[in-house]
Amino acid sequence: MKLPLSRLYDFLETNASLQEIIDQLNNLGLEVEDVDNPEDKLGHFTVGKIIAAEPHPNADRLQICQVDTKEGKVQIICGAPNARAGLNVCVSLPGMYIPGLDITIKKGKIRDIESCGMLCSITELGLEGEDNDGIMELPETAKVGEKVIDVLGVNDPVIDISITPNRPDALGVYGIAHDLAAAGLGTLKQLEIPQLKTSFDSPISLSLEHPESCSHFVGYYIKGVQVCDAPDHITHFLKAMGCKSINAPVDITNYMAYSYARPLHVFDADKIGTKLCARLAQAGESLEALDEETYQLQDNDIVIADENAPQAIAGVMGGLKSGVYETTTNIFLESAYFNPDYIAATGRRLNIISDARYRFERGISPAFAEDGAKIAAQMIVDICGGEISHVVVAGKPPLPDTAYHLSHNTVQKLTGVEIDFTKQEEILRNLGFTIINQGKKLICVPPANRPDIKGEADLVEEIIRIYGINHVAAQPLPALGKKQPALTPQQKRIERVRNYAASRGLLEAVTYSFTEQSKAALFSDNLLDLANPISTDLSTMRPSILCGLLSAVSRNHAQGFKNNALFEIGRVFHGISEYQQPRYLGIVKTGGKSDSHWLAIQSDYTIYDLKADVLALLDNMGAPITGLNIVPEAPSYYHPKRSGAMKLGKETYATFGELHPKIAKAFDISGRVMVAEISLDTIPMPKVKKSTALPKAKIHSLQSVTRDFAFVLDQSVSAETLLRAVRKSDKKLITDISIFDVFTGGNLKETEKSIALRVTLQPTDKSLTDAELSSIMDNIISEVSKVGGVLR
Amino acid sequence: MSLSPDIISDLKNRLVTQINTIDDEQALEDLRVSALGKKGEISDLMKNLGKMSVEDKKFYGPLLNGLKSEIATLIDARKEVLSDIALDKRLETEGLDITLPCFPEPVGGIHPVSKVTQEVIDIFAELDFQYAEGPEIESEDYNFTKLNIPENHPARQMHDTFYFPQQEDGTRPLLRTHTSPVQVRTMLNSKPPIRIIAPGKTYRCDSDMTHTPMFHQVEGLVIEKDINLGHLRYTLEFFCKKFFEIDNVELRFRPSFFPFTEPSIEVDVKCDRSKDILKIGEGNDWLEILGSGMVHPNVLENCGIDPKEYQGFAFGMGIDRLAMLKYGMPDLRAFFDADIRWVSHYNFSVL
Repeated sequence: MKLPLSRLYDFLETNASLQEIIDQLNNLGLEVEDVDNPEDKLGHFTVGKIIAAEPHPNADRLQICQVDTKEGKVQIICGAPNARAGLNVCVSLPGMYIPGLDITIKKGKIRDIESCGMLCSITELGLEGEDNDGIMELPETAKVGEKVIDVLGVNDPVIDISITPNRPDALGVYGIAHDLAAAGLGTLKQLEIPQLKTSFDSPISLSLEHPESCSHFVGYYIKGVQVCDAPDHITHFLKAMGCKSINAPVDITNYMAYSYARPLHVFDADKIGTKLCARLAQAGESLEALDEETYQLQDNDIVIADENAPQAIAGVMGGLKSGVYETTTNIFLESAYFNPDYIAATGRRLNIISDARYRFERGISPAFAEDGAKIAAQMIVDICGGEISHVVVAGKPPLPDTAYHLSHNTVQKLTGVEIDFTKQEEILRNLGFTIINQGKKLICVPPANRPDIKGEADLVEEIIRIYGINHVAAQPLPALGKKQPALTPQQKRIERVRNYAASRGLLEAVTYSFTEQSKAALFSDNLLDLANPISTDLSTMRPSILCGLLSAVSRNHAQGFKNNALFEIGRVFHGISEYQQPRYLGIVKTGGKSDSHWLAIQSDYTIYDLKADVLALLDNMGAPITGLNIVPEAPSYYHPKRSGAMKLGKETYATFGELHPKIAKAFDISGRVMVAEISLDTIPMPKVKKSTALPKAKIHSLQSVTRDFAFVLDQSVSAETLLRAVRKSDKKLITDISIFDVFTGGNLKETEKSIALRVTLQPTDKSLTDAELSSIMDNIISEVSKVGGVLR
Repeated sequence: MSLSPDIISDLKNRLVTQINTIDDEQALEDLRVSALGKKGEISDLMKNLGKMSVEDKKFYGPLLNGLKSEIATLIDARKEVLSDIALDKRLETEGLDITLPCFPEPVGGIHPVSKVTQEVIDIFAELDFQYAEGPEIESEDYNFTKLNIPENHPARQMHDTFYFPQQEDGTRPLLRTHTSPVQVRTMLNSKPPIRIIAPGKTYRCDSDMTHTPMFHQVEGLVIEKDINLGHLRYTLEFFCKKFFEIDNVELRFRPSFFPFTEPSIEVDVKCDRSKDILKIGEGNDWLEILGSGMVHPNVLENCGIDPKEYQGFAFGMGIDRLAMLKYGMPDLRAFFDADIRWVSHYNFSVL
């Protein structure tokens, strides 16, 4: 809502400065977003008088002007043909900024002759108007040194206020003035409702069909008008509000909306029938509105209809054909109260944004329908002539009748601020509340223009708002009896694993939870699409934590950054229930730790890097990693032969491996992509330990013994199978098995591989004899043979 | 061979000279064998002892043994010298260029959003707030209706909500537009006293310089018997001082409107914008940082809490914005691109 200061003064008598007004508006909850003050931009331009103008000896079109300015006589070279002695002009002196030209004036020489300023045209000041090939010709009455904006009458600051949806009263200048006056910033001028001279019965009658949607309908028939343009003070106001001027009657309805938050409508009375009815539209009805669009109406749209058809979408927009134009001679002025819910629903469905809708859907004052119409009717006949009919009315205004009780201690209880109860009453009265004082309690009926007041808390807000909310002083929070830890164990471990992943050299990313549908479809058939996505590439909820990471890696590759090691923690979406939005930790790695390096120990990331990451992170979360089954059961977007799932029982804790090349290609990533997903919500919490003591370290006095083996196995036998067989051969003595070589080729068959491993045996009470040792080795060989392994 | 003191002293002189001039470990070993070995020169001389008289034995025995140990000692000493020389020589050839770069270990880090979230949780933990969470796909009921935002109210439209297609039961699931549904869930599932801090992802159908369709919010909720706006002010001042790491902070309250609070307040913090870097806590400018207020009685009632018995405040602020204000990231949109240069630069080390 724009507030030109000049219009505020129409309603408020005040000596407050602009800054005081701005500060008070902020204090009242009428947030000032911007101030357009001509003084700031143009206040330095002053009136000068050309004393003499002589031709420039070196240029035909230039004149040397001697100008009387606020700083004395100066010489200015001017190229304008209308520069002449005796003319009052707009002067800018060296050092001054010219907004229309975006330059700062300097003293200088023009064709060898000194010039100490500039005489300005209207557009050079950035103001609207015609230059007519010359400098501004200011009135003879202007005095040298006077501010040009004062002479032009444009010294009117406009304050831009963000009005919250609960304050429909402040959608008119009068409402704002009322609030400022209540806060003591000035005196509200008495609102004068004109005594209309009404001389005949309106040929148009009014009726209501559906009181729930429209309960009060008022009209005046104004005959014999001569439609002309509105006077300047109205058109200037409208322009400041960002509204186009049409003609006087239409402009007056807009003036009423901006001044009193009272939208009105004028019909050309000769284009409509004689029976106007506020009713709900019937299915199939339509209307060509003032914006020249035709709208299909539904049975919950309120319309103003005559005997034949809807003539206006009530409270939203009038009809094109029944509008008031220069040719109009008879006007029907309509003023009504419409249910905000209906207006909001219609406006939203038809997607019509209008000043009327904006006000009606927030709730206008039901008490002002007739008074508003009177003001407008008088203005119309004052400007356009004509005669006003007796008023026609249907229904009655739905005035607020609910009273709210305010206890003497409620303000203190909610705000912590003590305000004298009589002061509280005074504040509410100043805001227009009707009050019955019952000593320890006020019974308050809100003014009609405040539909937002619906309870005691609202009264408190009004009082503290006017009293000054910055009277609220800090008070320490009371101590809590029973304290709970801030984080649950699960929250704690998610934050810990986030930090741990970062400490392992992974960079955390945060990417959008939605992605392109075609990308999401690569990960799941069960997609959750948004009904109203912001764009097609952000249309579908991610079914995997990898979606955003892969898009990011793709962009990084395109920028030439091939080494990526990213992770993200976030929800993935399988359905709308809260159990279908589990949290995952995703990892994506491409390239290697470094580009070519003289140490040459660099190699590209493999699935084993990812496996190491996953195991380390699972361990960090307290998952029982030694008991995990690692099985080739990763989803189909993984490489079918280079991926796996880590499971305990039926629960999958994580999947890892190489991304399927087709998926990598879909993301436009060349080269192998290593990925992993850890399901954070399925990993059980580790058991709470009864003691802080750690288990005893196993440091044996006897030396351990190592023995190396190489087994030839079928390619299909996994290392895990081999390790399990070896472990099984002696669960007590074998403390470690390490695989130190995996070999294929040579004289092995194509279906075979050789795995070499070192087994560590740790005797506990006595050293192993040769016989014992060879028996263990035999056991190992025999167990391995059960899985098809042959000692090489 | 006949033995004389001269022979012994000659041998000694010769051996000493030889030992001192040898500069090769193998030659020294050869000399040791030729002098002290079983068939060595000293051993040869010692063979004479058996044939000697007791008196001669008494004379030559100590002399020869002395010679033997003296030569052995000298050889050992010379050996050490030679081995040191050899080691020095080897070391000299083993030089490495210490200025060569080492292999780069990748440096990880957490995202500014996570960093700020952790900071916020830690600060409010000092005031006994608990960290609360909830799903991101929510119901209209939890996101709006329970929060006193009726169907047709313009406030509902102002949220630019992302919806999912209408369900069979007529409901329209949505992406939460604020983390307030977490407040609703907390109130429905627990009894006062309630003190929670709820950070998380939120979504609005809006995108420009300062808005992204996904962003992060943190909300706080305190519901107890006698909580008033003064406690809100204290809590926010406490937070601002800790978060911005300043000793003093000045807050300005401005009345505002949120359907779920009454009175509603927007809070500005005093700051200095006169230089390139924004400074919180100094200067004469105001920066809006959050919205807050006393929880609306309707909200309490909708969430099963008796507004006659309990009251409290709620507040909400943008985590991304807090990160930008504190750490000076210029552009919100870059937060969610995971550009490797951005995350490498702005992510935080955790160690």
